[in-house]
Amino acid sequence: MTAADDSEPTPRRCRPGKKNKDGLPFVACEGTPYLSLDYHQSSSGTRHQKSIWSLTRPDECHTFCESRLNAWADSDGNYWSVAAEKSEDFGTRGQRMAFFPVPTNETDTWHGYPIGRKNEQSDPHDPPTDLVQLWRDQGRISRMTRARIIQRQL
Amino acid sequence: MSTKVHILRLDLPGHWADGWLYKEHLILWSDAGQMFVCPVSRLVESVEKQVDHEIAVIADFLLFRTDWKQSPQFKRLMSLNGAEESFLAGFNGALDGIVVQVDDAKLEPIPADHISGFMLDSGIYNNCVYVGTTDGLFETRFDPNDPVAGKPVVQRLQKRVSALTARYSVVNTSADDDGLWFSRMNFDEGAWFREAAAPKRVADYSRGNSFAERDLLNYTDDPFPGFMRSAGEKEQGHVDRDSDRWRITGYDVPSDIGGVMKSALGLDRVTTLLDRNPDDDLRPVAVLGNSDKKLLVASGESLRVVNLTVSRGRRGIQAKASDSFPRLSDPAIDPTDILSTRPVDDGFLVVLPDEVRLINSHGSFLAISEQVAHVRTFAHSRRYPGVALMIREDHVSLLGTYVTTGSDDQ
Repeated sequence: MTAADDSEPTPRRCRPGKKNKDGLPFVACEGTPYLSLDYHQSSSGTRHQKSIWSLTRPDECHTFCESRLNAWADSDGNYWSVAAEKSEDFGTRGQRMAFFPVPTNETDTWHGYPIGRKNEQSDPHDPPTDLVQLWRDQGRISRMTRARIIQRQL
Repeated sequence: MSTKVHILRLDLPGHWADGWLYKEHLILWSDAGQMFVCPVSRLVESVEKQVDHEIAVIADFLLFRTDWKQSPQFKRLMSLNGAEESFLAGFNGALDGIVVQVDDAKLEPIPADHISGFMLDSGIYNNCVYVGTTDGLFETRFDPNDPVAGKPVVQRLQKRVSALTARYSVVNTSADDDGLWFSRMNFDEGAWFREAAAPKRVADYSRGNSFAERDLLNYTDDPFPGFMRSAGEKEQGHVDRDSDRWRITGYDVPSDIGGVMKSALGLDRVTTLLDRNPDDDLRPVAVLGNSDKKLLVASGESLRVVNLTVSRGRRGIQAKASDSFPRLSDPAIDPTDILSTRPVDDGFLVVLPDEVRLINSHGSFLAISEQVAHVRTFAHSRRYPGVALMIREDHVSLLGTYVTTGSDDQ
């Protein structure tokens, strides 16, 4: 048996703005400013290796909105996402989760990046276990994926 | 030479978090942290009801008493002309092995407090049961003479426990950034649960730990685990005949084995660019796991086994690449994809993202072609040293193997 994602699909609400020196800004869901950073979309021109989205910029922003509208947050207000079972990876190195750190100020722009515990040791922390269980309860992930996330093996 | 691995697997349905084969019982934990148990004899009966006598006999040797399979007596018997063919006749050429579905195990719940958090590891030694979860380390008891008797559950550590080992009358608990913790077991059968056992921190960081005979390897984010020499004493009483009679009393601080390991792998030589194998140099060298002092190492795109030798004298720790376990390069195994390893028989089970493979001195063989959450083996068990317990999406499986080698022209 595989997980069946029975959560409601999130409407696409990201409206792109004009490209700036750091990336492509969006007005995301609930009017939230979101910036798709160049250095998380392409490895060229960055001195330090960053994790790279394998999603397009609009899909990256949509992933953020999906997290926000589903309240997939931890106690600090950071948003998390996980790729639904059998859907494409979030990151170019097989990362299946994404992390959107809460900005310092409420009006600041959000950004995010794909994460995978197995390949990167610098990830900030784990998604809350009750959020991982929620993803499982919603059918977004299988029991095996739930275990892999909690074991820090995804 | 052609080598075949014959696999016999028992599938029990259910959503399980972890399990053990212990003193003729199958113990399982549900996702909710409750213990369930059934006698192994019930599994034997179920198998005998469903399959031919030939397969039931194979199940005895590959699952229920794998110590028989490993015994010199059995190996001598199998050396008789035609004996091995007769023994394996039940497989009847099945390429993917034999799978027996056990729907009537009637696992019984043990009425005790549920363990909180998501299970990450467990250990059982001398009827003392330890469970590591995202919430901490928990201790309870299991009585094989009264298996469904509920026992108290006591929390011993309030930190995320990523791994634990229980043997030689001690528990070693890996709690990542919170360190490696060591605690002595209390075998009192009375009010053991009232004892305020305080684990002692013995290393600053620990992602996992594994016994290397009586010493300990502490796995961190470094490529090589720290080697922790133990001190110990003979156990006086309490320990039953199924358990080791050695009590560890403490560990030295972790020693760096990187130097001897690199030397054993030939990585400490000064080489020119022309000498280098680019794959070897670009990809990491790291110890992936161990079977006592046999360390499985990823070296470039290959897997190697390095044997540690430890002396109490001036020579200290020495390492030597295994002659009996040749370098293994298998396109099916990208060493950087390996999630975990477990010792089994003379080799290792290697957990990959979408399958589990058995590797041994003959090569690499598919054990199961699907994701598993957890694999447990019982290398130091009396009855089940060759069995793997696998936690799968909707089943728990017991898997046993038998390796045959023959010349290619047969």
